[in-house]
Amino acid sequence: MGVLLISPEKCTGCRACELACSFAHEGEFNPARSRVSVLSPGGEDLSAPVMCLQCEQAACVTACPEHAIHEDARTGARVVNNTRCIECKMCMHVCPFGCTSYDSVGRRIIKCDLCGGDPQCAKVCPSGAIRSVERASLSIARRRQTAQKLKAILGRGSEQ
Amino acid sequence: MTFGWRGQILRVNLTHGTFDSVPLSREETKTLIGARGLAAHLYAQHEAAAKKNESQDNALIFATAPLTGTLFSNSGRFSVVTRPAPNANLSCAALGGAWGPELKYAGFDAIVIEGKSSKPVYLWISNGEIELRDAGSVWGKNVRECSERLRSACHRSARVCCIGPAGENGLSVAAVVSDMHIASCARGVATTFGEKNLKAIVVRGTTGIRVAHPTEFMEKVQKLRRTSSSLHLRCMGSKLQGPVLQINSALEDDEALLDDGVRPTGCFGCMSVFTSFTNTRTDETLSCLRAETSAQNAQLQEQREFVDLGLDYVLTKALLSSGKFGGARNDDATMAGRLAHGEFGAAASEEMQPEEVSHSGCTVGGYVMVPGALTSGRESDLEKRLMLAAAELVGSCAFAASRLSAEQIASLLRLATGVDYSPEDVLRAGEKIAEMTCQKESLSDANNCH
Repeated sequence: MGVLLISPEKCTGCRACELACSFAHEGEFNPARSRVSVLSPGGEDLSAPVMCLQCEQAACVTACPEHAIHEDARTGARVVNNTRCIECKMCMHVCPFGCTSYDSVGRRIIKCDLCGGDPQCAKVCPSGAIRSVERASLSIARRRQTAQKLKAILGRGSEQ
Repeated sequence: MTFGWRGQILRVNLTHGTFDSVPLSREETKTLIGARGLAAHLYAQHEAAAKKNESQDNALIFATAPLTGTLFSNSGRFSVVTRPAPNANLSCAALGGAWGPELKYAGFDAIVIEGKSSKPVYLWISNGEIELRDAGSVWGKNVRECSERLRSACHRSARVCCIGPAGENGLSVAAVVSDMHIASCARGVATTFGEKNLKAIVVRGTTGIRVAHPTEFMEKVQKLRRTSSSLHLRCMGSKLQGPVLQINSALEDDEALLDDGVRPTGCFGCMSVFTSFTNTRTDETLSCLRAETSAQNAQLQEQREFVDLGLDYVLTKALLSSGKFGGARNDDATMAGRLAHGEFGAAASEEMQPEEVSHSGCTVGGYVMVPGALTSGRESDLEKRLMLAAAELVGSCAFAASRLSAEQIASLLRLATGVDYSPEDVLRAGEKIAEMTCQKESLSDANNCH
């Protein structure tokens, strides 16, 4: 089961993830209908991808009155059952990251579904700001990054 | 249903404050494709109509390309075309950033600006809703402040293409600036903004671009994206004194770049932001990204300041070093400010004209200069240069274009638009647009064509 590892400090703001996402889900290049957004709150020079982190204790799952959001056993993604969904938007109110949204064109709730196990955003990200990793190895991947930073700080960055 | 394109052209008349949108036909884009080509086509249309009405009106045309705003790498491109003087060649500024894609998401492939406003205005496009608004509060303001104010007034996610004080004051060294720091200077383009009393065009779009053959298009684009990181890329043009030129892919090196606390950033869709640059004069490899915090820092900071004033860095720097304005050499930023704000009048920069030959490169983020496809001095191979010109017509940045073949461009065009383009069509379009916007003799003589 996969999960997306986000390294915001690597994001260049190219927005390829938004294009790949909207293309995979809606068949068009349209950042406004993407499940991931590249935002630059501190000005154009600094940007970061913001997307669903597939919470274990997901507020959207708990809050949904129709039990329309569930964990996909194969991919580990929290996915919306659009047949059950009544579009009450409770999931949007409770998500601490703002990562469930309403697609006014398709008239349905949309959120990251990890593309059925093959996340397209990670595939196109040129800088490794979004990577698809096994859930079990998420923390070791992060620790590796920390170790590398420490190494650089200690002035031995060039030795591998 | 149009593919690749959005199928609508917005026409704005500043004299009367009116708008209308006209459909874009397939025939119009078959010969000259998009960007500079589509703009040249629309300019000819405008001129024919103006002749009928016995008007001398000069239009300002913004045009995107069929691949602009798609996942094709470095697809944030659009062109701005005008005629700088009666009987002069068309002049074209080519820019990147997210403005061009945003215009397509708003539903338009191009904008034709006619007439002249009696007071400073800016154009606000939110999907199909168009409004001309008073620009009194941002007239005279620098690019960054203007862009931020207009975004607050219109929409947080809107994109701004504007001029700085230099363009308002009619300086020949003025540049058009997209997305706050992507600047391009072509003869008469920024000053035409000023003459029309147009400060900026602000765009916000939430509709999508579809392609004719989605699966094949995506496969092709993904393949190009994968290979583009491993190919050796050569880049031309030597106008920026300092840290530009030869590009080598350096994706594996990104951790090292980040160690310095430097954030690599780029235009919309850019894959070249990770490349490292070799200064051809000294053969010393330096990363332009890392450069921002190291040796080149002062110069790059200065370049950002020039762009903020709406000035072309290279031309202005040359003008200031001519000694005409006196002052210490290290005080160029102050002098540039006074120049941009019109203290010396528009005539002060007259001697410094962007070449008659259209100059279409742009400076990005204060550290890279994207060379103009047609105007690159080093490339002597004419066919290669026509191919680069053609790549610009489909919406590719020169950085990405150097890796493409005419066959690849034609195939991307076919998959995106569903129209049957051949590699010959593509090269012919490149040649045709070269004739229209660049003098033929200088095209084959690399030395005259910078």
